[in-house]
Amino acid sequence: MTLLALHQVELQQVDSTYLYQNLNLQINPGECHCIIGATGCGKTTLLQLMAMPNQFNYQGQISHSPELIIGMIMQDPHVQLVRETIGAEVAFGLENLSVPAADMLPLVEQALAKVGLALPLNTAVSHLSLGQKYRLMLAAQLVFEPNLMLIDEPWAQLDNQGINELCKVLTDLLAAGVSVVIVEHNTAPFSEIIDFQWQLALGELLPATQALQASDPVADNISRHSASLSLSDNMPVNMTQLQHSNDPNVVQRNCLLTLSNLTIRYANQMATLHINETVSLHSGDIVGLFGENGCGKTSLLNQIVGVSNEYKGHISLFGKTPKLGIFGANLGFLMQRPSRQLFEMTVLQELEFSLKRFGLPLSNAQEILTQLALTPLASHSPHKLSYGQQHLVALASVLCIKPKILLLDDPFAGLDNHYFPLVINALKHFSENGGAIVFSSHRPILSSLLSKCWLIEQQHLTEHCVLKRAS
Amino acid sequence: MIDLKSAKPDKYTLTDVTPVDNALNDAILRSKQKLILCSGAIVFSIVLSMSAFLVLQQHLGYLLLINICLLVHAWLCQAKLAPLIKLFMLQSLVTIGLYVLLYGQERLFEAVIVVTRIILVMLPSWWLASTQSSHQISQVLSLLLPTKWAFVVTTSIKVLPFIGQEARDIYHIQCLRGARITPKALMNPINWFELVKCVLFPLLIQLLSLSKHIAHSANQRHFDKSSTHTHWPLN
Repeated sequence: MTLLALHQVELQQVDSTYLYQNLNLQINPGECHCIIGATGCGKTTLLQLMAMPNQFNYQGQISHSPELIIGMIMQDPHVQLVRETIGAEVAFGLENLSVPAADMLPLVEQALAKVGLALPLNTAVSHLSLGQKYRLMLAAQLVFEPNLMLIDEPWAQLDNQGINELCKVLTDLLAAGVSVVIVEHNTAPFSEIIDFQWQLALGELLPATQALQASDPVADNISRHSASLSLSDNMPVNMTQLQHSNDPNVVQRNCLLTLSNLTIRYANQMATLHINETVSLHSGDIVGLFGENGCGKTSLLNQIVGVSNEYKGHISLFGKTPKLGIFGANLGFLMQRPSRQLFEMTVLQELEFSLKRFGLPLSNAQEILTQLALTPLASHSPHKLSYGQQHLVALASVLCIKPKILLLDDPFAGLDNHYFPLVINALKHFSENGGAIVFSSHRPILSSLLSKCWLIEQQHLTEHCVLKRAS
Repeated sequence: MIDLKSAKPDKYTLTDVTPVDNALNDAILRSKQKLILCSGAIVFSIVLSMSAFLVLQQHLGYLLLINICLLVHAWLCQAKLAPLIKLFMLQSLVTIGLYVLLYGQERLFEAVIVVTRIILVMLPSWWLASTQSSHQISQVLSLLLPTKWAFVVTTSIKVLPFIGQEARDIYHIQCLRGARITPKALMNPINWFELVKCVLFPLLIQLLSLSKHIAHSANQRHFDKSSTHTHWPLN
């Protein structure tokens, strides 16, 4: 029995170009399909087309089995949550199926247990971390027992623990005959459960070749795949507590940022992040800020740039206490979901905005567009680009002002293997010219690129040096 | 085993559901009590809001007193007063400023009365949204309105804090990008357009996108499958 089939499906975009041409796919019970493809090739749209074909004007045939029940988790769980407490959120699907109220409780508890979210049912959704929200969304789908799960880029959203838990859930679902379709740039964490891997290219789904399946080494042997997989589990081997030495190279470089004896209070005022020692950032440094979902990475970056001041202790940025807007072009900051900052009519104008405001040469914009291979998009509207492309444009708009410090909150989310090395090279180039970078990630990555890393564990941030691998 | 495979309300069967225990019954009972309170709160806030326009000027003081009590209650329920006070101050400034510009200072008292009435219209709704969960409001509204309307109203209330956070984030990031929208820069009306362009325009795009995603999410979870809906018992 085929659950879902796409037969010679064609879909035109607004500009009359074809997003899909002659697209074929057949999904049977218990199969796990993985779809890879470049940023902006239409992977997310393909999931939506599978789930809600009547909302698209397509040609060809999309067949749903009468038994088909689809569960879908999109890239950003924030925008799919409709209730205030986790119990009510999971029960939303049951409410719509008119399940009696008393029968909902065991079903909701079972669904939450499946995804490992052992929290009271009246826990506020707003108190959950991003990874927990993702698992909540998964539970909200599992509660009505779908036989096809569509999942959009979970690796970018979840930390390693979250991915491990997701893999366990998916393994159980597949064993129970549920089919899974994952859209993902990084297939390695799911290699054990994937039955079929497809490459979406030029509007067609092609079986991914062995060459495509392998993690291509990128940017001078820096691969996010290998870094994420091999290093994440053995951080202590690769990193050691930083000894504050009198290294002449470090002493010569300017100290741009110092954090000492810092305690950060979260918005819900329950947990805090502590920095008991003094950690610093010098010009030319590339620092990785690593910790699991919800550990306080974003909060820390917000304190450093002056967006928030919920801290006790000492933060010195360029010798001053941070305050919003006082550092001008010296400070560049990329927030999570940076597509929110886009407002101009073209990509080029978006980059030129900051350059005009800070009185910098407009040629910087073209330079960065070339560096990130975004020149073909220069005249496009940033609002019509894919999630990954918007992310890149926002990054380019920060890079082009050439600040002295660049703070990047999860900058690699949603980047494909084409853009990832370009971003890495741009960051390396920035660092070699004396710029300092702090980037956050919910898993340790890019160890060979880092000067040091700030690791958050059990609400404490500690500074570590990174031992480069002999290879 | 629980079989929901058909995903149709008339076909699911529940043959082995754990019996609800006493603690759970207590929780459900408390939820029902809260629901009754919520119903009362909705009626009370509607009456108060309407009164703000209908009540005679000499009785406005009593209404003001009741609203101050609501403000204190919301504060005790850990609602944040600062954004509300900022909004009221801005609204007062704009309204009184316009009155002074158009009619001069002799109608200043009239402007203060208008501002007070507007605040008294808005405050009960804010109190309701701050002290009652959107799920409870949805349950009450669904008794009066079609389910889809109730969902739209309650989801709109629920996303208000999210919208506020998005607006703050966008404002901060645009300040860091050099936009002329700092409080000092906004003293100059020429820069007001920059605020609209850099903050309100992206916020509007985010809201449109959010509404689309929520609609997809709800439909994908069978929201449009049935005209009758049940409700999660715990609030």
